[in-house]
Amino acid sequence: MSTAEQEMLELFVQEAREHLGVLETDLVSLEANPRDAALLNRLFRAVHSVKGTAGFFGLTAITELAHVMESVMALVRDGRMSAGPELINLFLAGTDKLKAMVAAPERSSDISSLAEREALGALLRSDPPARPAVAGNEILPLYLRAFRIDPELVRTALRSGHHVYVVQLRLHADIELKGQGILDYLREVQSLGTLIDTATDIDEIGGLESDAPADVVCSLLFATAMEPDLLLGAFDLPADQLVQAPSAALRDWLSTQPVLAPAAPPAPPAVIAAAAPVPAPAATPVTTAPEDGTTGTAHPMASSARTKPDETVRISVSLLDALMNLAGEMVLGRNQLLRVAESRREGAATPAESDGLGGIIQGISAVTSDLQRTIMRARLQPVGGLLGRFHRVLRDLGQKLGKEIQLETVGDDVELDRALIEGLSDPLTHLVRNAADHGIEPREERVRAGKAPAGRVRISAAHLAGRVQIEVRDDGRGLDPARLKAKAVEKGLLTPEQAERLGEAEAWQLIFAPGFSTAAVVSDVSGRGVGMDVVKTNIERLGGRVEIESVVGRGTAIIIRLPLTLAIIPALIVGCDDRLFAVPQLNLVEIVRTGPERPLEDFGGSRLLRLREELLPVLDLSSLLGLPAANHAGASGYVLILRLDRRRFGLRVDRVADTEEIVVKPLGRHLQGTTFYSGATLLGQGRIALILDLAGLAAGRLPVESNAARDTTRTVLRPPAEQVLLFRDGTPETFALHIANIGRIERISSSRIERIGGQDFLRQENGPTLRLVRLQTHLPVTQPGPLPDEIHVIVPRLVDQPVAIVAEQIIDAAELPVDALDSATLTAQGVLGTASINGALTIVVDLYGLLRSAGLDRPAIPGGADLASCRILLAEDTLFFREAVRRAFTGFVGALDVANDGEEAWQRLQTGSYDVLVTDLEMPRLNGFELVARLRADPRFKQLPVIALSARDTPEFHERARGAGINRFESKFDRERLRLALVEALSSSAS
Amino acid sequence: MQTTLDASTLRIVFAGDILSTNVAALRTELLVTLGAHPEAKHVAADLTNSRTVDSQGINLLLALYRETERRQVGFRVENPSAEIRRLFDLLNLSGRFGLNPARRP
Amino acid sequence: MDTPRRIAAPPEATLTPRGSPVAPARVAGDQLLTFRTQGRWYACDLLWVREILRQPAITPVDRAPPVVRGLIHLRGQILTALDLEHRLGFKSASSGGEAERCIVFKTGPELARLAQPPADSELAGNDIIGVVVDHIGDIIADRGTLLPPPPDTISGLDHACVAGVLPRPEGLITLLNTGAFLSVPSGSAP
Repeated sequence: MSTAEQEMLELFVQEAREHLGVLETDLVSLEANPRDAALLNRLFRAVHSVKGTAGFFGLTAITELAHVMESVMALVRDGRMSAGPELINLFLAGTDKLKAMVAAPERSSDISSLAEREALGALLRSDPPARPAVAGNEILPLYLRAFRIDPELVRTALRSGHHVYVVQLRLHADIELKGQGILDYLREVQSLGTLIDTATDIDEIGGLESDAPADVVCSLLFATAMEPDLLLGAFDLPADQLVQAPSAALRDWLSTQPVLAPAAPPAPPAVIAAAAPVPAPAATPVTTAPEDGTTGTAHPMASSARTKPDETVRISVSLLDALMNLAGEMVLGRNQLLRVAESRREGAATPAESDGLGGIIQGISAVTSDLQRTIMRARLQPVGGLLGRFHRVLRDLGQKLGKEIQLETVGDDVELDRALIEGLSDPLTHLVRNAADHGIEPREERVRAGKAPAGRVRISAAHLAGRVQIEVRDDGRGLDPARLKAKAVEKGLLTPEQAERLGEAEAWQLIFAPGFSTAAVVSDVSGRGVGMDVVKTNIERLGGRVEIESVVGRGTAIIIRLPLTLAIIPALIVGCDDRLFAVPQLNLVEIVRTGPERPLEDFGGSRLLRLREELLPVLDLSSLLGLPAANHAGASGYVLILRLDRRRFGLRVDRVADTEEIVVKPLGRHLQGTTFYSGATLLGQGRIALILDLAGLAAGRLPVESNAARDTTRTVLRPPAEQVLLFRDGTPETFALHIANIGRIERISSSRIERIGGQDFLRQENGPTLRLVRLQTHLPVTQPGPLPDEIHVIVPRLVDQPVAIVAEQIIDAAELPVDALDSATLTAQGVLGTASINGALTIVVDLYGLLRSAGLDRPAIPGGADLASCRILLAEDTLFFREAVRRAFTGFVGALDVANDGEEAWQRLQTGSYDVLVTDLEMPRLNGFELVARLRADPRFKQLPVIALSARDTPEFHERARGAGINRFESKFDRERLRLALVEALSSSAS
Repeated sequence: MQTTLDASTLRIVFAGDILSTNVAALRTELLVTLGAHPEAKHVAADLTNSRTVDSQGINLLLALYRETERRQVGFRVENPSAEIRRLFDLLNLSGRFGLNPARRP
Repeated sequence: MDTPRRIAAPPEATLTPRGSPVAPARVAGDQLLTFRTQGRWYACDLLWVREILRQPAITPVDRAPPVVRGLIHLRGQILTALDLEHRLGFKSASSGGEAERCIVFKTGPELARLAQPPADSELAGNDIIGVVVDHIGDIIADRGTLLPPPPDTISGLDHACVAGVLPRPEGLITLLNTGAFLSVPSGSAP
């Protein structure tokens, strides 16, 4: 077999695989929509093209089976037979056989499809054959028989090495929708080759009474020198609407036709070899090789079959066009170079020409880089092909397990490197099986739990923060930590004491332990006790991480995060010093220019940017990376406003260059552990830019560390922290104030302070005069010296009096772990407690307490609700958080009642009267979502403001909370945010 | 749209171009007309006034063709403009529409 | 690229068999590439070498472990350039200055294509790694005695990277265990 033939066979295998993949997915959808015409047509075409191309290679086993399937599908398509589950099972069985055959085409005849063909054939015999073929065409492949073929045209075409195609054309969808006239289009078609015959399919069109008229579909038999991809591009058609007619079959057919013109010599072999194998299908080496016995012919076939997946890549025509354009530019550059070389030889080299040379070289180097990047795109594939497979998997599993399971796939068009897609196949299959087997409950159990009878599995793919995230999410019974722990103890993986100490998230991680299986009954579907650990290992081998989220009774999500190898993402290129960096566009909200006219607010080492009503923390890229840079607050530059999960922050850079689609390259092993970069990329001119890992840059440097972006276990074990501002006020003590309390900070000259009646005031040009509060006069601290010339004033948020706190010196922003606060040692009004921050003993200021002791109390509540009379109900099952929340609200509101879970809260609501409900979302008995659902269904509580607290800080969870009727969602650790949330909830309910 | 019944031929003269904008109305009109003349043995679609047709127009003519097939009456198209005739030729519909088959391009 | 022709040419079968090893198991093939950095001479197995870059442009990676000198663009690929002395664990190592040459090593798949891959080739990964050196010397046949590295003279030395020392008329040459040299040093996580 020649290389050309072998390549074509490989192409066939790949194409057939794709068709069979589509077939499988569509068959499953067909079950739900048995009359979907588009679906039926696609199914028909898929089988049809497998059959057609297999026929070309003489793969009769494939052709025979595909033929029967195609015929039955035609009956279904024409409405003469309906697609019930049994028929679909038959089709699926046939598809499986075809897949097996296609996987090893040279052995396809060893696989018997007799049973499938007989079962389908029986259906056929109940129906007379469909449309008649043109007489004399019987030896042609089925799809050619309906054409009236002029032998002369075909002969001439083949003689000149042209290809003969069948082009399917939908007059409306393929022509008119693209703004062209049919006649113009067909004229254009004729300019590209020879139109041999046209068949307009009128079977599709009913009489006048049939509604929703179908598009008119024409098949063109067309001969041209163009290759399939080019032709598709020229016709602007999807690939499945073009079939190349096998030249061998046409030649056989020609031999049966009377020759009118003088006999043409046999076509020159050189031309044919490129187009098609010369011998008739039955004599191709594909079938003769095994008998042949010589290793020389048998081997290349066998090896090509084995290594197939990596060997060919299909690329889109637009990509090919881009490559062509670039190649054109290269030629241009070469010609320019030749011209320069020529003039040099003639001794005419002038300085002007030397300059020209530089330009040419620059041009060529830019084109070369582009060329290379464009070629790399060819490695990318949409993930949809992989996700689509699971429709079949779930359908089969559902039947086997007696469960009804719906699959939803999201992000089918996300493009990933081929290698990654292949590597994900097994782990995802396992996860989907697990979800179906262990996750989704049997129908009765679901109904009893008040869930929809059909389980849902959702597989989604997305590019997030420079990584790929793939999720398998089910709405099944969830992972029960208690059950997992018991199992682990029983299996001897943990001692009871160890199990006792495990938190929820750590208990979930147990499913990854080797030898751990949670199925009560080991089923043949997934519970063999191997699997999840292998999944984890495989994902880690791809450089990824696996995380779990689960709510008992609500479902489980397994989240896979992978580095973007070779992926292409849109990115913003920025610069610091002489470095270039790429920031994933996905995370970019906006870009703000800073400079003397718009300085950052500088608090010691930390910066904040005032952006509209928000005070955003700003990280400085130069200082994070230790680069020498204009590192003062007024330096001009740019702040990128970035979004990471739910947080927003700024990143200061020196320059903003450009937006580019970058090819992500993984970092070498020596840089795997770096936290700041997720990869590298090549820009034009071959410059390297590192891709910033925003999660890594922000980790531990922002308020309220999100647990979503980091390893679950680590975050759970880390104490939650609040973000505070450290400052001094002329005394040795360091104070801390929650950043959430701070509206703005101003630097003023102390001479502007006016002292009236024993109190300090600051007159503002635009706004009310601020009453200044000095900590030293209200808190038990050392007495200060005189004020320095310049001081800061801190203006709090949500306080209805014009007031500001004096701070002589701003030190830094810092994190205050909630468990670091000591509220026993120093007790005074205006003091929450003391803590050791950055090694210094710090007094944590209670803003509202301080204002109260200064006689200025209360935060503002528009609408006049009164905090002192406000009653809060807290539903929270964890002791630690119960205490944390209680402390946050004690003295702040009128009363706080505590319920230990949702059920208890519901009971309390029946008798007590509350202004606000603050609830945890994950609780035993009745969880937060269920509690809110009850409230919203009850007219008495429809309007009750609800603030939800959860450590589960993911966008999905927020979405769900919003959908459930929760007014506010807060991460449960930040006291001041909580208070603000309360104030805002009250004010919105009052108005 | 005008219709005349001449001998056993129902001649339908379309008023103008047959386009997606008017096919829905024409479809209903055609159904009514055919229903009103069960005695017709032939249907002739006269395109004297039509300069062009689009895909939906072709679709309508094909539906009319199928309808006549169903009713087992004859069908032909008469007086197509040069443009329409060219289109029918390219789509291989001329024969079906009873137009003298021209040699294909 | 500017790979010297003598590197590209396959070794002739005229070399004498290796001398009996004194030091730890030999991992090098028959031919060694010598190179110099900071006045010291080193050698590595020629089979591992893919090519040599002349004055490569190095993109620094801020906050990277000190063994990483930076990244180099190599015809569409990005390679990690190591600092030789830092990798060997010399406390006094001073990185910086212009990079004169970069020896680029073969990746795992490239080594696997060799008829006889080096014994330590399983330590190679898929990423391309290079090492920055001052000067490329001759290719020498690996014969004669290999002395164990003297632990006292060089402080902080990562012994896993060094096969031994070759006494040559022109001086001592430190022979690297290339596979181990290219692996990530323990405890270098940033």
